[in-house]
Amino acid sequence: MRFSKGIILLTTCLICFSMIFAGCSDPKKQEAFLEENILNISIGGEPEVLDPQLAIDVYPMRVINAVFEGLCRNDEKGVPMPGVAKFWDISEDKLTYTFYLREATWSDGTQITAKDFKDAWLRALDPNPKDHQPALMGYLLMCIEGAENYLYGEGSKEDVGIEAKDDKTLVVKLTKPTPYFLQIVSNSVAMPINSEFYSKQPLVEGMSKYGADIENVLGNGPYVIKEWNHNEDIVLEKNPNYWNAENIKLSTVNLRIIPDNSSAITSFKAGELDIVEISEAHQRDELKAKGAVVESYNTGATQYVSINNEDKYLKNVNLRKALVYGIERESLVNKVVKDGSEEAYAFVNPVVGGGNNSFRQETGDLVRRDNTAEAESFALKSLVELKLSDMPKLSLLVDDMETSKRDAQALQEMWRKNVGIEVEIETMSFESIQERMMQKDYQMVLLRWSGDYNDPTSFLEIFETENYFNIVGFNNSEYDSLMSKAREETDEKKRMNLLSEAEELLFKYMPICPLYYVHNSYAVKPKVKGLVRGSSAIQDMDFYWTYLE
Amino acid sequence: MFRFICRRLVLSLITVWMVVTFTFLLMHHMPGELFVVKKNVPPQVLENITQKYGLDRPKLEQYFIYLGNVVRGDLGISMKYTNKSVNTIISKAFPVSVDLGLRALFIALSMGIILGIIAALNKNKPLDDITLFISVIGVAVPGFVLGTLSQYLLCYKLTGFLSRVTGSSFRLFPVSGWKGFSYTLVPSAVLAFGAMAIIIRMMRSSLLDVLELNYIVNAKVKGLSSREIITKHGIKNALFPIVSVLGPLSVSILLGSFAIEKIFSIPGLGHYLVTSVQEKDYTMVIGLSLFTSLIVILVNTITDILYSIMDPRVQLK
Amino acid sequence: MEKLLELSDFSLYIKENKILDAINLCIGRGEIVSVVGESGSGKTMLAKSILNIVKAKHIRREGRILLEGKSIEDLPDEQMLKIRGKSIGMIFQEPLSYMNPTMKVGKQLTEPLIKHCGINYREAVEKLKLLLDRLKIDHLKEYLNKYPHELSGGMAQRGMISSTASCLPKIIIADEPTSSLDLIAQKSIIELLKSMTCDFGISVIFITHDLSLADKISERVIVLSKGRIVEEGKTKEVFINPKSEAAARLTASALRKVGNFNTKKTNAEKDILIRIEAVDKHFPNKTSNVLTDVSLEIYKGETVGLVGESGCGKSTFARLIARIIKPSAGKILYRNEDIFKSANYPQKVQMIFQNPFFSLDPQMKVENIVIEGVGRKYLPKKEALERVKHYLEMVGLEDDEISTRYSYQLSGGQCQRVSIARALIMNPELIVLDEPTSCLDTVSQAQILELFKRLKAENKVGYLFISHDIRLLAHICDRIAVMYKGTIIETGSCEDVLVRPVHPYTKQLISVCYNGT
Repeated sequence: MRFSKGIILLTTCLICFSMIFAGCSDPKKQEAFLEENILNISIGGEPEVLDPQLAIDVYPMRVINAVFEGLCRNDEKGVPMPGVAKFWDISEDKLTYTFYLREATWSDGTQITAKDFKDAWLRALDPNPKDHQPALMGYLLMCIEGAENYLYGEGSKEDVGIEAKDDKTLVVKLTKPTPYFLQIVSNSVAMPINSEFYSKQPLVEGMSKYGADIENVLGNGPYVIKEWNHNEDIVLEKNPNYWNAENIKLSTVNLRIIPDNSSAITSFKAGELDIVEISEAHQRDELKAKGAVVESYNTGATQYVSINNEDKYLKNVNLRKALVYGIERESLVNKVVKDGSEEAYAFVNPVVGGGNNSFRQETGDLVRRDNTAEAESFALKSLVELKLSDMPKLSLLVDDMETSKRDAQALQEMWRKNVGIEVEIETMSFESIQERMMQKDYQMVLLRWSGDYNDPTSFLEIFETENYFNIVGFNNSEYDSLMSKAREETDEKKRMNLLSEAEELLFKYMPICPLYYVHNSYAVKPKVKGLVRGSSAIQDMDFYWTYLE
Repeated sequence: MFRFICRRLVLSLITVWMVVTFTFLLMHHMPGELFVVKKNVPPQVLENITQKYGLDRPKLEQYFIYLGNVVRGDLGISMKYTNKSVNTIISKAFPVSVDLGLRALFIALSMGIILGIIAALNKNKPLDDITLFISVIGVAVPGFVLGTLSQYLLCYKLTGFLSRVTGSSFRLFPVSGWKGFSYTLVPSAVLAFGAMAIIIRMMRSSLLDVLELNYIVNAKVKGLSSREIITKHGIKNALFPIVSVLGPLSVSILLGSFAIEKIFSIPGLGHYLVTSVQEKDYTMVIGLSLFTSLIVILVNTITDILYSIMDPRVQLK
Repeated sequence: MEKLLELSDFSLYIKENKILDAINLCIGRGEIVSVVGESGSGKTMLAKSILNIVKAKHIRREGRILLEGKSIEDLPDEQMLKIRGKSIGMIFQEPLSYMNPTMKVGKQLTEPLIKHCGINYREAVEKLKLLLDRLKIDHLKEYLNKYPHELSGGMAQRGMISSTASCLPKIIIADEPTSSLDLIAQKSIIELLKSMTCDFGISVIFITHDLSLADKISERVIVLSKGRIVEEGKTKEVFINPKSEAAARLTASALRKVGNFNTKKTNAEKDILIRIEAVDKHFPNKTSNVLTDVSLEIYKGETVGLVGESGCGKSTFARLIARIIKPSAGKILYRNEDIFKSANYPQKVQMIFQNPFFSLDPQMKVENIVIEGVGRKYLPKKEALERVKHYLEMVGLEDDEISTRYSYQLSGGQCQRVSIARALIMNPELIVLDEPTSCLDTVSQAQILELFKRLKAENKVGYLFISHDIRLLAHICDRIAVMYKGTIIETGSCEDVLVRPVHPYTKQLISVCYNGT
């Protein structure tokens, strides 16, 4: 008797306790989600650290782009526009940039000075930082005089060509003309740091807590962090101290951390989110039917098959050509990938600028379309040259993402049909692939490449003989000389021409098999306007111009 | 009792030490470079990082340094979340997992026992078959399927329907998140389902066994009604098998909630348990292994003590 | 005499088998009636049918049961509840398995009072105490606070009886309440039941297989065989002059005083087989020693009996010899070698246990059980089966078919024979028997005793016979040792101990066993 009474009492207690403990769901809070000027977005993962110099992933970059601001920031088209810097001068020889800062403050009211930028950039270049990890993106600043030496531990901090002439003037000296320097300046690695705030941050095992939590972040961007519930959500609020505050239309942005995208899509359909990424092709039609606006944008990455040019079979150029022509890119993009990606007939992504238009438009396609009929003849030629009687069996390394496996199977099918070659798919984790790639222990591998800055060099340099990432084993002295000449060239047009020549030369030898330019699809509620999705990591999602109707 | 606890303490220390060593060895033998970045970072920079974490020192030295830290209660800094200590991360994420786990355990136990009793008392009648069906679903259908399905049906369809019908914007079952009582209902129910299925079966067979025993006959002879016999004599004795299985069951609920946490975006420990290995966050992996082994030992010890309290015939050794 | 309970032409069918056949029975108010019969004769079924608690499919009942003139055979369960416990109470054979192991004794024993008399726990305890006092249970409060497994069989049974009697039912049905107890406890329980009748007018239906016990307690006896009443009448008359076959068998197997002892030690030799030297045994959670300074010598081929009341340490002693537990002090030597270091000790010393069903693996056939110790893999199948047959014949199981049966298909007596065959096949030098017949009815018991006598004459095996009933030992042992509270208080030849006991406890034991006073 007492036993059962006890059980009933325990049960009632637990139920009451659990309600109090979890906090009764506040109906007002729920309603607030659906008010005006509040944007609800899902991001797929928790940002590890909100430190502009140390961030490398897309998730922290999204938040950093809203909470910090560099000398420049990218506009809706991805072109650098004035940020903290009101305007700037570029010297005749294109080696000296002078930035003039405006009256702008950190979100706590203190003025932003040129020293804040100098400190930040030197921090990114620091080879042996005491209280933080070395900045992996610091190498982007190597175009600055003395930076490379400093980064490699051979020079001193004082020799780096950054000078804070006065509180509002920053002078930067470059080693050689770098047309994409302003792009780098908009990048998160070049965003300022408030050194006084930084020095006040507590240390955890010798590592500064800067960027770890809401109280460890001090930004100067259009938004401030109001709440940071790890692995749950980040709430951004409009920064009243921002110099351009009157043009920021959103009052609050709710970044909900939802790792499972199908769950995010359900949330979107239920009205809990306003923007959601689309991960599967069928969701596009489904969401369109429900009245959402479905868009896609070029991520700036190229999906391709990297071929080991030192392999005993694949060293033969005709075999490589056979593989390249054996792919029906149109049906790959329209029937298999189906997320708005475009076919790739060259390597450099169309998003990369080169002169008046994109580099791609200037250079044109370098792989002939609709050439599957020729594929087999190339293959037969290669057999004769390699003195083989049968088609060799080749292997393709693929990482374990669903999209990669899907692509690999399509490729396998196409090669079998159009070239008559059996390709075996080997699936493994990306780390294992990395290891084998770096040791050139592979035949073919499915990869994706994107440039860290908006210039063709960021794509083409991996085929230079000395480049660390030259995993295809492409060794061509003419190519190398074209690339170095382009680096020295000050005239922009001539430089672009040299780079075009280089890419054309590259494709004479077909060291790789380009597949498609990667696009991302997403869905928005019709009331959301002015959302910018960009091609660079820093501008993957920009709320600067966003408003709700 | 005191000696029992002392003995358990020593045992747990040894176990934890073995877990830490074993995990350390495994982690350092995984393929791939430590800092895998899909970008063209110059090797010099990577070398600097490796030096900073002392990863270029001989393995044995790394091991002893780490062990020394652990003894002082310092589990190190996560290599992914570079300025958060493993302790902080675990201490923030674990309570959420515990919360979810306890709710799920509560539902599993209460519903499981009640349904098991109903099944036993209605043996071979329709009610028995219904509970059997429920338990088969719980065992056969994987957690993530159940989770996604209930998310779709309950959180999206049902809640949307209710909102439209009542006209208010109050959402009964939100799709994802962990911000209030209503957020906890669907995830804990789904998590509970698998364990509940097991408990139903156990309770049913255990109660049926107990009802065959002699002292039940005696109770009948004393003139007690069926209801009194079951509640006073039957249920308590039938609970023992469940108590003995409670240890492993709780552990699997507390630590096995990864799928549910992912689907419902609950900021618990499950996420770290899985991704830390993929991302080769050494310190995190070892910290988590240590932590989970402590939890397992704790839960098992509690179960043993509970069992000895409930059954006067059992003595702790 | 008033008719309290009447059964007229009552039959019970389970799946068309007639279990009880046209029972006609009358119990008067304040009367004690014994129902005797061999095991399997339907005694327990009769008791359960009266209370309608038979659990089986396809039950059919015919005939009438009248309680105080009102028929109760058709009552639905809710109304039957009011009769069970309140008007008719029942006590069972083995108290420990009939008590809830996780409930305190006090709570369980007061259940009927609380349920039927509508009083609360404290009042119920008071009422119960009065009854328990009569049973000389000391430290009542501690007693009520214990759990069933902490009590001895006798203490538990006394509690059960008090509990059943506390509601002052009109009839108490006692189903072999003393079979698992030693004789001293048995005596006190019989006295209690008698006093119930005298003081409160409660009728008792006393079910037993022991006719001599029935003789001590009741005036009238009913003999049941194969579900039918075969004889009825005054106990003394039936005892002396049984008319039916069944009654005759029962009378024959009742243990009486042994007239002459065979003082010739036919098989004993001068070798000391086992020497127990100053052995102590102490269990960690008990305050005092279970065994203190026990010494005994067993010669080769000799039959030694060990007698003592329940709880005196006999079973612990047996387990020590069987190497199941180790002594806390002292030594046990087998031919001058410590038994724990001896290699083939198990083969030389075999043990037979009390409960025949629990000693046999329910998943094994009889032939496999018997041959197991010898090592089946070393023998070809044909030879193994032959050996099994030989030993089964030796123990009186000649039926070929038995060797393919499982233990639950055999009766208690048959199971015990199988255990003996299993022990004998090893060719041991000593067989330790821990109360081998206490779970059997008197007829089976008599048969087993005959078997032992025969085996003793045929083989050169020695026996260590442990029992609480000295009458058994009188039939078969050469020497007897008496154990009391963990020490051996008296040893001597069978005749010496029985005819000329020295220690006062021995005297008491003998008087209780033989005279029932």
